Amino acid sequence: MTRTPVETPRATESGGVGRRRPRIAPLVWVLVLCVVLSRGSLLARFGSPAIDNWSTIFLSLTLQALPFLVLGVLASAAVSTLVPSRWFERVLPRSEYLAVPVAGAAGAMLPGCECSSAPVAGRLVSKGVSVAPALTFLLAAPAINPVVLVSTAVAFPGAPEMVLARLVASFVAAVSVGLIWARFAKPEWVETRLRESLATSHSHAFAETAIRDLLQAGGFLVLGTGLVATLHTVVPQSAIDALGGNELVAALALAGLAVVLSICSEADAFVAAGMTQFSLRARLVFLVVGPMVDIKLISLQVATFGRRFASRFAPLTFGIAVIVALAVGAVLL
Amino acid sequence: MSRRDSAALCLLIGVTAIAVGLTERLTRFLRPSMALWLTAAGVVAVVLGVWAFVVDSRAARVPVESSRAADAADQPTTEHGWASRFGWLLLIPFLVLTVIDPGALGSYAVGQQGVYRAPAREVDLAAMLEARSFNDQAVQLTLLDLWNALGDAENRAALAETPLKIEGFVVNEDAPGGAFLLARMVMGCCAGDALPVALTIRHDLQAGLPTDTWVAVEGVLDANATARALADTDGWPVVTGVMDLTGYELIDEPAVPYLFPW
Repeated sequence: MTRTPVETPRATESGGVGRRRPRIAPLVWVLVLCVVLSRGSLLARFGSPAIDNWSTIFLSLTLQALPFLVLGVLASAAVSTLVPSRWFERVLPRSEYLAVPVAGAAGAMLPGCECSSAPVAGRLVSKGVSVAPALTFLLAAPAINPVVLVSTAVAFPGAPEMVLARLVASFVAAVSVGLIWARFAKPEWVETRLRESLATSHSHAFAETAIRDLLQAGGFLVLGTGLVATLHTVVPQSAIDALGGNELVAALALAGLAVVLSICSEADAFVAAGMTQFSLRARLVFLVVGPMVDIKLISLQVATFGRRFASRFAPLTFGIAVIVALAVGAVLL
Repeated sequence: MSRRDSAALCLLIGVTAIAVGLTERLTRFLRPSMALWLTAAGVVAVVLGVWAFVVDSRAARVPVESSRAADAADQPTTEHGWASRFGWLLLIPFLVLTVIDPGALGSYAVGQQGVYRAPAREVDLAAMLEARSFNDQAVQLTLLDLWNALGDAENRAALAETPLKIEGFVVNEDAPGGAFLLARMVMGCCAGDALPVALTIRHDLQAGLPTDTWVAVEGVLDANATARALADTDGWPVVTGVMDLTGYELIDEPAVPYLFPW
């Protein structure tokens, strides 16, 4: 199996010994304190129903995701610090191509939001799992886990075939992307940005890793949920409703919407169920694309694997997901 | 980012999570069942933050092999290397909760978020009516119950003759003249995906009611107008039905303002 080089980011955060950069951090804390103390007057001057709406949606998306993010970070820190390095190489099939579908099926073991899969996949890569199976795992885990399938069943009580279609399309798409990546991708496209801790004590390394991953993934999560809250608050649904018409256009529009809305994979089925202007096939595209490619996920992938990776992986995944979803939808729905 | 900054950010996000998970704020954003998970996540973040504050970051590290020199140079010290700068963004949820402390979704979201139109679940109307009526007073249904019941034409006929009592908040924008909308938000996973379900309430009140007031409305469905409203899925606003008001009562915002389809 090819191993990607573990690159470490340059240590430029605060310079080396002897170089003093002005520290901004204390100023940030002072500002935070001022803002908190003057909350009353700030609210009076800047509060509005739109701000309230934005805040509610932002907090709900962020806090909904947080437990899954924490779970994913703990799992990834555990993988990184507590599992012997060679274990994964022994467990997965030697052939990278065989490891891809196995990793895809393993994705069903990690129930939860897409937030948890990126840190774990990053750790798997740094532990010696080939990139392609780790990526298949990253794509499959949010899409085919039991919680998502149950929620899809509940959201479409008159159309249980949606559950099967979602499962099949997501698995096939994840495996396809993994196989294509295994065949065509170059190792230098992936930058593993999660550094190894050298602390002697396992628990020390575990905690240090968990903190680092939590803050990094958490920051990107906030970027994603902030953007989604802005879109929900600023763009009325009626603007989207006008797109009903042509089947292919509708599917692409919903695919684009899925990327932009970044809804948690356990909830997107209900949003899709409400889009009665669109066909089931178009909505399947929404449900397959969403957990695999969206603004929130792209942010997390940049954080975990670097920008060069995301600029190739995201379009590839988007294209495969749309094609596979349309094909499966034509057969099953 | 330094050790102390990382620690403080972990603490703040943890405190934010706990402040929502353990209080009545939770139901403004998430399902009540998330309380345990959110609080636990907050506790984990707080524990990590406290650990980072008290740990001695000069704790022994493995001797450096030349192949891992890059790793050694990057090891966290007190001043740097603890986390990426993006972690600072975790201040935002803390500030939003502390400064804005927003309420549950209300009239602004009605009209912005689209409309709840998931397929109506089958209901046993007779059983529901029997379970929800007390003495000779109106049958108390939720807007979601109504949405599910009205999916069936027979139910519509039966409901049209029954005095109903329904809770929701008032929305005046986009309502037809001489009426207001009674709405509630239906939540799947969290408030981010909540969609409104609404009823047009025709009334002859002098002053009307302020938007976002919570009321319990009593009235009778107008069967024809309801059938027309249900068929008209392109118009705006999309409502579940049309009701004529016979009485109302101001209520407090419920502890759980949202409705859940499952």
